[in-house]
Amino acid sequence: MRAPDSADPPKGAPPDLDALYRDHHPRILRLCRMMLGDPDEGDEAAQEVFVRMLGQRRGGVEPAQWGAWLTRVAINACHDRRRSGWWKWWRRDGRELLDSDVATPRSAEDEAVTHEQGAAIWRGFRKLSPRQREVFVLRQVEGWPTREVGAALKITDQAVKLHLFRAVRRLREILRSEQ
Amino acid sequence: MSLCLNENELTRLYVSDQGEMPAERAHLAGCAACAASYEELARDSRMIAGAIAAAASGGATAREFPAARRKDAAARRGFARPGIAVRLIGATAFGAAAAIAAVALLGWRPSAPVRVASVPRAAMAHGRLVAYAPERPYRMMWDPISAIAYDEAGSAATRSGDVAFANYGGGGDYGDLLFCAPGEENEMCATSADHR
Repeated sequence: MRAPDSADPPKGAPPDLDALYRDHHPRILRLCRMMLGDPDEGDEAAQEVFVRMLGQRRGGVEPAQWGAWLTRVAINACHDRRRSGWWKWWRRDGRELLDSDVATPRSAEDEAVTHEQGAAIWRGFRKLSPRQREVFVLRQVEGWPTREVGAALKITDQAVKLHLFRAVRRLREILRSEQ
Repeated sequence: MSLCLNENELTRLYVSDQGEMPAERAHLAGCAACAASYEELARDSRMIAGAIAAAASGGATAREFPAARRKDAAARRGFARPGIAVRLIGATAFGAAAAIAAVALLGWRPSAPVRVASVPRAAMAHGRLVAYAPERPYRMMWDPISAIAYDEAGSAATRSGDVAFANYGGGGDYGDLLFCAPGEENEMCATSADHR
């Protein structure tokens, strides 16, 4: 169960767009970057999501929960972008994260990962298949249940588990090789 | 189940949902070694997820909302980011322009079209073939409507009906057009005046 949007209006009034952006942009940006495995492309995709938000708002159809709506749109935007042949060709190498890009660890468990390990994990993460990346992000990072991940990506629950299994195994190998 | 779970089985258990793999879960509940391995796996996965999330959160600062607003406004005016097809056409046009620029940089210049009408009659009468080279002919495309001949350097052969360009009188800017047939000797080529 997700928390209601903090930008949701008290009653009746539509949410303030700036507040929606402030509340959701960091999460959507992070999600897009992870889904696409590329910081610049993630940035572009996140902008697209909020452009669609403006369009949705203009159309006068207010989703029940903007957070869930934005997440869904972000997943679709990343999916569309990733499936485009042009994008595959253009972004076949993508941009590696620079050392300065790797953020300072926040939690106690994050702190157990050194800067070098973090960079190596990101490199390994980018080498996963796009589907493995998507499943890992939604299941492990975003904490979605298997069924929701499958519904969002239009794959079976078994496929979700298979992709997650492979992703976890591969990323653990990388973590161990860096230890 | 008496045997301990190997790493693949532990990973399968980790990615499974509650209620699945009951035998393995029962074993895990009673085996300290497997429980420790499972906890290590779960901890590694959390660390990896945290590292990926931290990496994706850092770096370049997020764009301001006005950027999305500007993009939206541009889209409404019809200047949205172009679709794939448009971008492909753009890329092709860019490639063609780059190729032309490269050719220009390498020094190739197309010959100026020769207006047959501009060849002085007097010069035509005294036309003399001085630079015709059968092994390196110039194929010229004749446009009877505009009376302009376009040459194309380096063509493979001079075909019947094509025209070959030859300087006359010591190689000035003017020229005569000679219509040649394959294998013909230079002398057998006719001047353009004979074909008009």
